[in-house]
Amino acid sequence: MKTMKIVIVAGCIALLCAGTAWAQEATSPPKKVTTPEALRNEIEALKAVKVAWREIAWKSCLLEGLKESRAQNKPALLWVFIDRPVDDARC
Amino acid sequence: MFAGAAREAVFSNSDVIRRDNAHFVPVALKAGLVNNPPDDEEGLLYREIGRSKPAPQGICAVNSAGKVLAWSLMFDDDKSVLAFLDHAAKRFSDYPDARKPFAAERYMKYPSMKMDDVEDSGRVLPVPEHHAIGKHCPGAPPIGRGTVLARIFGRALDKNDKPVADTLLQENYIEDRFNIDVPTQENLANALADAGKGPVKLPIEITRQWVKQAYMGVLDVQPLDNPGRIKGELKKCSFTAT
Repeated sequence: MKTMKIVIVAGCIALLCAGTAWAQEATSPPKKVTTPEALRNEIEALKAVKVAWREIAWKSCLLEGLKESRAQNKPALLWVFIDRPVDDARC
Repeated sequence: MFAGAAREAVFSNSDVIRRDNAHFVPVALKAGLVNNPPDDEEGLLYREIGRSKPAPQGICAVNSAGKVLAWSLMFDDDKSVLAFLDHAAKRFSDYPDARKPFAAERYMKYPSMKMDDVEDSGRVLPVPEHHAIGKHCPGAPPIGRGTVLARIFGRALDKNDKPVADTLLQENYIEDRFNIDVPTQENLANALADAGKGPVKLPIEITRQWVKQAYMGVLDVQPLDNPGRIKGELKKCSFTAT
């Protein structure tokens, strides 16, 4: 069985500027991140370089989609999903 | 079908990606808009799409008038996704607009589990060219001035603490986002201002909002914010700022 440790990093400018540290119960002690730059680098290292489903040119506007459907004489393919932003990689 | 399942099983297939981009207009719609449409002309289009929906989430093809050609919630295999797209494209060539009535086809699983069709309502709905002046697109609601947009990245690590290569599964990789509104920022600023020089523990009212976004796996679970099914417990949440 594959053993995994999960690391989740909340990355936002506000958090970086505030220099917050998240104390959590983990399978191993969290690494000490001493500077905003080091935290930013750690976040960057987690990001996937290429996210497959983003290769699809999703629109988020139904009216725009139907307009393009008319203009290009193509059907619109609707992915109806739980409420997340269109470029949300979780969906 | 969970949103994540579609992401992994349908929209990460290179053949599907190619086909979608070349032969369809891909539109990602929030389920909330289909299930609770706004009360305007655009809402009528959402309502028409939702009229035949087999479930609150799914994949469907519509024609230029917003009439549903076919729904499917799942697919027998990878080839079936492409077959569904072919089938939808064929239906579009037969029914590109609202001039001829036709039933919405529905599949629990394409092609093996077909459901009953839903007959055409006979209504021809106006399709506005754009949103009314002063109205935002419901797919991209406005964000309050001063709001900070936060992004979250989560990645599983292997036994050597290296990020796993497979980022397709939600258990392995997630990105998410949330907004930090101005009152929350003010609370944070006040907490920091009151701290003096030493480290300060941040209020749970602020940090819980951050933590509840931070989970791997299926989006719908929302362990700390589940709408009614599972009540997750946040046993420890301690942020300090220096």
